Amino acid sequence: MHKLILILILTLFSIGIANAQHKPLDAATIQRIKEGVSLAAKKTEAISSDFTQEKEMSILNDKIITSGKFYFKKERLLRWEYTHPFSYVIAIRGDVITIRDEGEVRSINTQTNKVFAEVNRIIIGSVRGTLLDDDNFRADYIQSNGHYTVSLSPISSALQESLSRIVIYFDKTDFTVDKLEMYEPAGDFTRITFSKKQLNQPLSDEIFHLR
Amino acid sequence: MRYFIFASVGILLLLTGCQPTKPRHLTPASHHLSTDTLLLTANCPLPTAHCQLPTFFSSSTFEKTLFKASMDVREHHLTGLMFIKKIRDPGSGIRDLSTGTAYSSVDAGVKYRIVFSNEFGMTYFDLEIGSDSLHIHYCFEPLNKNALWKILETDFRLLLTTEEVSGHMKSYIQDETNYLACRQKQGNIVRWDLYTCEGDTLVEVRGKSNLADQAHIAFNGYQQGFPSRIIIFNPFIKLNLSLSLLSIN
Repeated sequence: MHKLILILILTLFSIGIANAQHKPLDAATIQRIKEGVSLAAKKTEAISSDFTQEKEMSILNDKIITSGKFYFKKERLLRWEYTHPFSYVIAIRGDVITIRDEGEVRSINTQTNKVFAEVNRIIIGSVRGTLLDDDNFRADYIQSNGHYTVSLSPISSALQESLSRIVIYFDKTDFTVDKLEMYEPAGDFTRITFSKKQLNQPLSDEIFHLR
Repeated sequence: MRYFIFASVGILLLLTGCQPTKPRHLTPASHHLSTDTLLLTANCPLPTAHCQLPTFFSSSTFEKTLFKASMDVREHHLTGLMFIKKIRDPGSGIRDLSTGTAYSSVDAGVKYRIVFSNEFGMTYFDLEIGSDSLHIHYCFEPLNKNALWKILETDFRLLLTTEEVSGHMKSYIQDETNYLACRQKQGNIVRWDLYTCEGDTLVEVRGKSNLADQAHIAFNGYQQGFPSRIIIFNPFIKLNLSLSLLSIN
């Protein structure tokens, strides 16, 4: 469970890359993307966005669709809120991860939890633009119309058991994440699409406190 | 000393896990019949009541449903969504149990696909269960324990009524609640279905095939004939699975 949360969260903060089944990028372009991601991370103080999440179950030909709000504030504040068809909020403040599920709030301190400590490490690395150099993933860069796409394949066998790859679509103009897809070993995948993104709008710290 | 500890632990497990499956304080109903035409003469507002199988999932109108789900088992607290879909084998039909014409379960060709994933869409488990089969398409490794699956299989068989129910049905009235309690065999499972005395609302299902897999399933908050909240509890391993209805069909 914690690993899965980790995987999703880390992808949210990754800033930057390309679109599958299109042409691979040369080294100079990849370098430019990494620099763009890093620069965007430095300039981004806050993000608020809507999101729509679709879990596609290929064998069943069915989708589970959920949606909600996403907030990020430098340095280490995150709120991920599902509003439809259920209420669920995960908030991260530094080393503390808090979850509100059906009105019940519980907290996890990453200082005493190795898995969440890893989550925290990756989040911070992502915000700082270093995720693309993370040794835990092999990154393939691709370009398509409107996006840089990065396909991240986990290297560790433990991660491979629950995730075959993450594909992140970055806006070519501002290097923010437009969309990400998480592919599971059995063939199902989950796509999260961000919309109505607002960068550097004032966000109160209060929204990252769950009570 | 070591044997003493083992024995003590075993006894403790038996004591803590061995809650009775059979409901307490039962009075036999007036007749024991093997069909759904049981007539009761208990203190029920209605003159007659019928034992039926739970038909939420086996009804011909049921296609799929989505629940908000949480599962607590040992150190794991898992939350997310549970998707249940009926899968029809093209070679077989489905009997409409909602008409109450047959006191039996679904056809052998009907299966159910159950996918439990976290809020972010990553799958905990994905299984397919039929009358005589269980196929696990995927299971998150920390959950992939054979003993756990034996228990979950019984849970889902009781919930979905996947197997033919046969043999003599015995019926009782529970004194304290006035519930209609029906005992029957479902494959190797002994199951008890507890209904309101009118016989039209399933309140609880209990069952087990052995000591370890006994299950209690409570149904609450009916909306248009479908329970909006289902709680499955396995006392032996303290597994608790809560389902809150989000959508159906």
